[in-house]
Amino acid sequence: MRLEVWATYVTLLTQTRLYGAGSQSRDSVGVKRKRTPDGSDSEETAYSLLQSQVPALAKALLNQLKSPRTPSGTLQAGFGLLHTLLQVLPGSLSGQTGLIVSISKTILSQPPSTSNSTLHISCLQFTSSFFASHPPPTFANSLPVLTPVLVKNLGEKHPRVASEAFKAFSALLGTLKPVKSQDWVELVYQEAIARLGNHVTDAEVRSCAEDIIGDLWINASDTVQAKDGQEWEHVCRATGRTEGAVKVVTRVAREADVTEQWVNGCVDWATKLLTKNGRTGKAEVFECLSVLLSRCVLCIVQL
Amino acid sequence: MPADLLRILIPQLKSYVSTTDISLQSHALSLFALLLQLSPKSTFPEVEREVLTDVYGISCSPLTSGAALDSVLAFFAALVEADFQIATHVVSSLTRNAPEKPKGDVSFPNVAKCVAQVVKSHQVIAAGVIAEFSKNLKVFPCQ
Repeated sequence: MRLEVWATYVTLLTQTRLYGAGSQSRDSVGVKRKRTPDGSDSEETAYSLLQSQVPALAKALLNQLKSPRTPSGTLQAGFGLLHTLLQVLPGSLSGQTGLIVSISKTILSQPPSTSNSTLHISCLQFTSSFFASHPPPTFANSLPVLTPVLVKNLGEKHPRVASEAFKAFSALLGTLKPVKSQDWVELVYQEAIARLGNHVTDAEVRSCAEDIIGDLWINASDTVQAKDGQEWEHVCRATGRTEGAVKVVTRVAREADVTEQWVNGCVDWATKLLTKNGRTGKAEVFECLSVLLSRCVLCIVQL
Repeated sequence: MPADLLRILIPQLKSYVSTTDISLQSHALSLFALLLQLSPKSTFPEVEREVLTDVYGISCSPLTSGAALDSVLAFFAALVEADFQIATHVVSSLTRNAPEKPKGDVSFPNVAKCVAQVVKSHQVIAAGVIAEFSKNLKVFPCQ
């Protein structure tokens, strides 16, 4: 029964996301709004209605989830609902941070098994959008609690769990930019290197690890620039799928502080990719080269 | 730009300058244009020797249009700006090659646009080119 109510709520939220803004824009085109005597806008849009419901809704929902004996299916549906809520109203859960963090921690601390890995994934996906859509001060105090369990999830065997954990850190790095002297940055870096260096790493995990290297270079440059650059040897490989790597290199060349040596190495690598057979991804390689070459000259001018 | 980088990159890019894949050809020409802008001195001689002849062929091909043509124009603009002395040479090569080809294999509007681009990038030659081209214009008396 409860699950059905939640599922209905998810459907309603999705509808609001699609059409909720519509009523607002219709308001602005001509229809005269009713005004209360004090001049404020009395007409309620789907968004403002929802906004007023969120604190009560989130509180009720999280209270049902917080018991350690809550069945996994209920938890998963609950996180699904919270995730959808954040897609419709980003940043709307800042008041509930404490409860969210403690529930997430409990879930993510359990080792994922075949029966609860879906819950892990839902929880991690929710954590990503929570990080991405809330301002850092909201959750800064909770990070010491949350990051150790997230780091543990990075090392999980289950490829989807590990991938989602990497994505959660990507979101965190993006929000906290620039990240300075946080101990978890080093751990994330080490795990990414370990995944990239291992040739049996699952393709999805690999692509997330490549992305996180890019995020580290862009958002936590102080930490990674002091390293020996070993990660790029793993990212810029000659065989296998290279689409993800090309994207990461392009992004880093565009946004991060890089050395002339790095640019030259990457130009060399991208040039080699051009010699490969087939046309898949070639346009992206050209794009990458053009960003790198522009960067090349900038580096030389700076010297 | 490091010389050895260019030495590896240019032959690779050159292999894409053909009408087999128009989209990649357009990318390759844009990159050549970028290289010519970024480091004209080291790129120009290589490009003149290795690529220019192929670009003449592409520029008058009816297959070249839209974004691909824009890349060709950007290439000529960058080439002429890298070394102005080549401008007259490019104009004569463009116009000399075209009429010899069978009809249908050559797009005269493309050639005209390329010539216009060269003149735009090095306007000193404008008077000469206009004088040369206007010889071919004929005035038919009104009947």
